Amino acid sequence: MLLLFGCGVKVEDLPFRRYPVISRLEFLQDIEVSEDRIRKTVFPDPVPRFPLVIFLKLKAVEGPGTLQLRIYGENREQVYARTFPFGKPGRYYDYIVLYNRIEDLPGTRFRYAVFYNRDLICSGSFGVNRSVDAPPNSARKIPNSP
Amino acid sequence: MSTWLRFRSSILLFCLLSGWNQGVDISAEYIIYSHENGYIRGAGKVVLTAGDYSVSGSVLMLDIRSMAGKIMGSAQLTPPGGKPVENDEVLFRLFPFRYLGRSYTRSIEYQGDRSLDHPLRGVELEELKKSSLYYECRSLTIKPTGQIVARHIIPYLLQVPSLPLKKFIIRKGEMTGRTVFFLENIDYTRQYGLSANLGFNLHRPVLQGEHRLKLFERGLFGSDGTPRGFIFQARDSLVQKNRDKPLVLDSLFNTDQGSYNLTLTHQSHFSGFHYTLAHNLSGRRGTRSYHLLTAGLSYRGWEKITPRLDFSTDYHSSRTYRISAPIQIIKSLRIHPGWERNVTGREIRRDDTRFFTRLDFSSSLVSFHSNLDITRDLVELTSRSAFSLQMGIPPVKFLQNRIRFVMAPFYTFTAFPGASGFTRTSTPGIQFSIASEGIGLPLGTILIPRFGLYHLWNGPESTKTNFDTQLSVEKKLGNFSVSLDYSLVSRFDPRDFWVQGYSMNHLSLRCELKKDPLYSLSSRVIFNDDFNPESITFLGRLSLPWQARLFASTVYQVRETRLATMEIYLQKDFIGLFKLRGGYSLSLKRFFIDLVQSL
Repeated sequence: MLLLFGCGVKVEDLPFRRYPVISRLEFLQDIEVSEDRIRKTVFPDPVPRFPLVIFLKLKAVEGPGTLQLRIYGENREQVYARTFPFGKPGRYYDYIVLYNRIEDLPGTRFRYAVFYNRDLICSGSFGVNRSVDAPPNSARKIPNSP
Repeated sequence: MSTWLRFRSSILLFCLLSGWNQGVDISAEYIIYSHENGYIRGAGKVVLTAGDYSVSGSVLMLDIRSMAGKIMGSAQLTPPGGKPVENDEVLFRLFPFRYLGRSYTRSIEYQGDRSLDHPLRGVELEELKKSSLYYECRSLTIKPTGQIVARHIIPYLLQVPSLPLKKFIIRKGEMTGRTVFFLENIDYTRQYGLSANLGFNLHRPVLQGEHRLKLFERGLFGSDGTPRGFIFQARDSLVQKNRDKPLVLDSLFNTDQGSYNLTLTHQSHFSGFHYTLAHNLSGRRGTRSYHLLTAGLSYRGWEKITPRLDFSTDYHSSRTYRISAPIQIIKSLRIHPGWERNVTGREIRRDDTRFFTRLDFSSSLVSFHSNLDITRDLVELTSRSAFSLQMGIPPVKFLQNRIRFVMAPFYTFTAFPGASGFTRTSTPGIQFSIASEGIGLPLGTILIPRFGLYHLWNGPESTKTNFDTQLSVEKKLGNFSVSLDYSLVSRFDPRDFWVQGYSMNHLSLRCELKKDPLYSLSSRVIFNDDFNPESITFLGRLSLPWQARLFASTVYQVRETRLATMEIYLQKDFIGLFKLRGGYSLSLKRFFIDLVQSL
């Protein structure tokens, strides 16, 4: 036990983050992944359109696990679910990137939930643009660092 | 050490007095709070206790501004006297505590208050860690006033961990009606260097006060100016039972400028009359103290007119008397007439008597503002007068707001004594401008014309008309854009039989290749009046690994066939506050390395 000088706090009482956290979740128009880089194409409009790519980054992961993506429609019924196993025993990963292309789903308003193993780790909602008058999906590519 | 113990004891005493056990308790393996974002995130064995309710889970998000949040990951809610209920997430709102359980199975199932089913403001962990001051802790208590008391804390100042603390008030919360001492923030600015801003609010039945103390340190960073010091600002008031403040003391002490300013004000009212009596004492290092006594009396018993009498003196030879009476004729029409006399007489003797009036009229279609000012110098026995009238007309828009037309007429008149006699100027004028969003041309080119006209009638001998015309042609091809900008500025001054004037052409060609945040290269050729190239500028930026960037800039003078300036340097940003730069500068004629503050 170490009592930090003058402040009456034990080291083991201090907060140190050791838990996985989703640092980013994006809806992209397209994604190209090569060996050393990810090239993302974002939608020119703030509201995405189908087909879209869900991209998320999970940080500080240890060992094997699963990520599950569930999407629900306007009537609260599940319209999409997919499980992604990853990792090897005894390995630590600074981050894990998940990207998943979805061609189309019924409706315009959705709620998503991301589960890490069996625990919900991230949830939210999004809308898609289905109008014919919407601007075309012209490409704007943003390359990521390796 | 004894000061520190007293400080801790005072915090503890304050906490006991203000009801430590009220509020909501949250504990987790890891909690982060950023005051800038007003947001809390937590992870690992999260437990929230609000009265008899308890919620546990593995992830916490809580927006302090709206006191709304959610706990995710096998979130278990235990209602008072009931059995625990498990959901995937529990949304909640504090003060009073309300909740909504949500489970994601084949469909989304709800349990609780459906009015909470709204999106929650989300702030990512990285965003919270960009704050200049944030706290990581193991548990905290949020009180109904918004105050947050945390335990087992590591404060991060400018993203650097500082001394861990066992217990500390990390958010002061609602301060109205409370006596509280608090740390407002710690920051680094170019003006003051590193500074800590402290506050002390005093709230007692007969005494109220707000105090702010800024402690700054420049010497440590080698910045210019006083190495270290403080700025203290305060307002203390005596308070009566009817909330009137008959005696107010404003104080300012600034060791940076070596100055002080104290004002003691007494104000009260009786049968519609309001009066103010104030004494101001100010001074600065190396100068004598200055005293000023100010008195004012107004009558607020009438609805349309509020007459007011003011007087001030420095106890020596300067004094001012002023009588004014703002009159509200109708809601949109106000007239403010008045008279004042200024007497000063230490080094230069002056004695002015001045009559002034201001008229304001505003409606949805047009507004008028007019000023009339007549001043009589009682020493030199001369007079000055000035009159102005401005008319405001709302802008007219055409073609779905793509074209905007503005017209603003005005008139000014002045009369003042000059060296060669009395001078009068009468200047009516009008200003027009028309601007558009641009016209689409073939091949995706956009043409943007703008036109402005400014006309002044300064009597028959001096009438001036200015025309400003601008024309831009732009074309974008992916990351590459090119634009040609032309502007023509013409000044005309009619004199008797002829018009004297001149025009200035300005033509420039700009090319830009840009892909944020990777690189940006731009070049601009500026042409002179005869459309010959005059200068060529180049600016370049390239992002490198480890958040470093390469910058280059040159200016080439075509006529003199020489480089006017050239700079090329590498820059590395540190936590958004400092930049380390190194490279070569032709204007300095040397290689350089410097550390500058980010703007």
